[in-house]
Amino acid sequence: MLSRLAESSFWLGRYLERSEGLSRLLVEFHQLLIQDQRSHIARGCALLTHGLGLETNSFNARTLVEVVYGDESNPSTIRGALHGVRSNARSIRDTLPSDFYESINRLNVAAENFDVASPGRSLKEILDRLAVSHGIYEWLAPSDEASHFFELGRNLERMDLVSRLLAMEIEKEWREQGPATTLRAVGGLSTFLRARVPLSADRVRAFLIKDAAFPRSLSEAGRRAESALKEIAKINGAPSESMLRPIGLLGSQIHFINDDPDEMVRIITATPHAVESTSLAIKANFFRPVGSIVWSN
Amino acid sequence: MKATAFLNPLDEYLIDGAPRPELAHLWQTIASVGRAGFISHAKQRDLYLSMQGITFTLSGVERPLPVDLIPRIIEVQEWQHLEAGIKQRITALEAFLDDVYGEQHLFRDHIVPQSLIQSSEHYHRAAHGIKPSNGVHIHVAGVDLIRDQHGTLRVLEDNLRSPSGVSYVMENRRTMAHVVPELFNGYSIRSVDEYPKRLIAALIAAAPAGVSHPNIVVLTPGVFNSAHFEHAFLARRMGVELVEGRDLYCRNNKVFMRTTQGSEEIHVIYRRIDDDFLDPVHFKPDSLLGIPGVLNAARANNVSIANGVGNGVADDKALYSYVPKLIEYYLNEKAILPNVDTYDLRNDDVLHDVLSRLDELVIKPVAGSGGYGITIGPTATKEQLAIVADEIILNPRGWIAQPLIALSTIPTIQDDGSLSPRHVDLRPFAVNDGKEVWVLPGGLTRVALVEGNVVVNSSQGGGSKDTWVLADETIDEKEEVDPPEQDLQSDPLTREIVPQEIGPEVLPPSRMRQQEEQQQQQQLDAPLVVKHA
Repeated sequence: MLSRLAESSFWLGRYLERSEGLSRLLVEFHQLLIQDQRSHIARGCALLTHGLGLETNSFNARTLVEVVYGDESNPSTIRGALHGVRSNARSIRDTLPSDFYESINRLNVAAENFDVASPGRSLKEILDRLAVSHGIYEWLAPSDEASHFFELGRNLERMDLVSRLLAMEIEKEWREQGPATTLRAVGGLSTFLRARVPLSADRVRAFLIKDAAFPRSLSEAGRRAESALKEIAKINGAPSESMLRPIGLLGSQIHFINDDPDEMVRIITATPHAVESTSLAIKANFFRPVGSIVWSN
Repeated sequence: MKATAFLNPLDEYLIDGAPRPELAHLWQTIASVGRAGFISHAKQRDLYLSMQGITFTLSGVERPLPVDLIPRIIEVQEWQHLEAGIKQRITALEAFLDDVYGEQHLFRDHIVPQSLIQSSEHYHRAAHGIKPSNGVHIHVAGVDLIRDQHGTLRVLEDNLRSPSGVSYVMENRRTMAHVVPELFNGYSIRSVDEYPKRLIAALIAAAPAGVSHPNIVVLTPGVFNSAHFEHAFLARRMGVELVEGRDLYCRNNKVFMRTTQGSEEIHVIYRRIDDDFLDPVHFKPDSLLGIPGVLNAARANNVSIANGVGNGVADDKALYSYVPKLIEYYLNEKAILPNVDTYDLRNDDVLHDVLSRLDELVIKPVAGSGGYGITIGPTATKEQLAIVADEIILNPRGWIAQPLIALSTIPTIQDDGSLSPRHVDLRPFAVNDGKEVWVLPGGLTRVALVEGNVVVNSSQGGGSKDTWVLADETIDEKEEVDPPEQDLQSDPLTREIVPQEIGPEVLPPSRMRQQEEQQQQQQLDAPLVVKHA
């Protein structure tokens, strides 16, 4: 398939996932900070921005919303990620189901009407729209190579965001609300509670790392990324071992993990690097930007 | 005539039209939101509540429990007083229940007449001698408080059977933060999120002796019950199964749940159905909601029932007036929270006095709950009063009389976005795990949405308010001095910043310009050329 199409599908998946993940995170941080306007509010803001690799110049709930919602120029913010969704979709619209493209445009309208003063409602609207887009893609997009790139991007981003969330250690700042907030930030509270285990920080961390049933756990997202990558390699007849190595290794570490907190921290820290290596590997193998022509004699 | 027109209710926000000092900041924010602001916020709130399914079923119709957007604020000191009062009360009532369903010292010491207890419709012989494994009868209590015209908080009612409303306390807070985040500016409020954790801990502690990993369920009457949302909410937040009576059965004095993998033994039942329906073997034989034999299983200490069977005797409206005496008897302390004066109509002199001035009193049926059957003297017609008088004479034990109290008011948003004072009460929730009575910081503030109305019950169409217990800044400072085992190395903020990956720019401006420059045939913005024939 067209390299450009593959790359845009990949980033479409990543940015869709990113805008969703960041929106959930912001909703929950906003809920926490708004009720708790004590001295550590600045620290709470810093936890989120630092964890997301954003500049840390927010000091209250409102400025935090401004920074994390961000603008089109910064793809590490919600608005920027949504812009990434739309521009990638736009450049490959001929290959996308028209319903999907329509849903992306609706998403864009929701983004334009964002209200900083009342972010809960606006973010809810964006999350609803994102769910529609995801749903339409799953209903209508053919399971072709592009969809594997989409799926790969989506799951790599998922791993990245979940590991960032875990690294923030919200439960240390808000002991009571921390574990529930961490789960809500990935939409996993109900699923976790269904397993009938006590809601404690350790259990929540273990759940988000290794639960085999929850689609956003590092282990499950890693498995999905791996299988998408295998499909891509198979279709292209490309050797897959070196590309699979980073998340494969991470996956086996998670598989054999025990409850040692240090080991969990190691996994959490290693995840963004594994994601980045995978990203670089597929870029080198499949995406051929202008200027990457290899001359032979 | 309005019920309280002749009394001067205390407003919790305003004194002579000016806000109390601690509310000045909030009052300013409220003013800046303005009428139009509140009208639009109210629409968002309704939408949010319906979408979230946060509902209360009233006369068979599922509707959102309206949460008014103006919060109630309780200051640190008042909360401490209230918390101590509730703990004291629940501790004394626990001792009372233990005594009444046990050795009955209180009759020998003539604290409460035996006839009063035995004539209570909630006193169940069937519960006699059931010893809860950790001694707790009142796992959850919801104590209704009102503030009188002098500002004193008084206990109006102890709800010790299945008090409902706690789910709305938690959801109200999320709704407020969602809909009117600006109101929170400048206030630190204690979290209400801890409740499910406390409740499950209390239920685990209540498990029969020797069971280390108890199987716990929430027993609901089903989806048609007014509080079904709450039952589902609690089961979900505690991570336990929500069951109906038909999901359970008893065999050999043990309770089992029907599952796809066969029978699973149940150790603790947090039931939200009334005693009368709980066990057709002992109570209503035609109950379809209960589990035949469950009471025998409890007596055999194979299952714990929360709240305890027969708790109703302790929140009987006729026993209510004895509670201060019970506190003195069991705890040797003076009651911290006063009662509302209550007339015991079994005494002939009192009865005559009450009958002679029914038009200034509030008459309540002892058996009633949910605000049904209450007659408010000053607003009742002569015919209504005559009917009530007849019923009282017929059955004095069935009624109590109380002086009319002007419930305090709090400004409340009206349909046109304006503010108007409405009467409120407060129901804080307490959880007892056998070691400690814990009180959820906050509680359900119920508000009568109709002007002048003093009946606030949700089942009478009342609404609610988010209740903010302000955080104790002094405690917070202590935490600052002694940070929770955080060494610098493990501080997330000292770790390296990992930037997020960024994809290539798909539509760079340079490319965009060149793409735009390409001529397209029949461009839409080309001038329309009209050809002349």
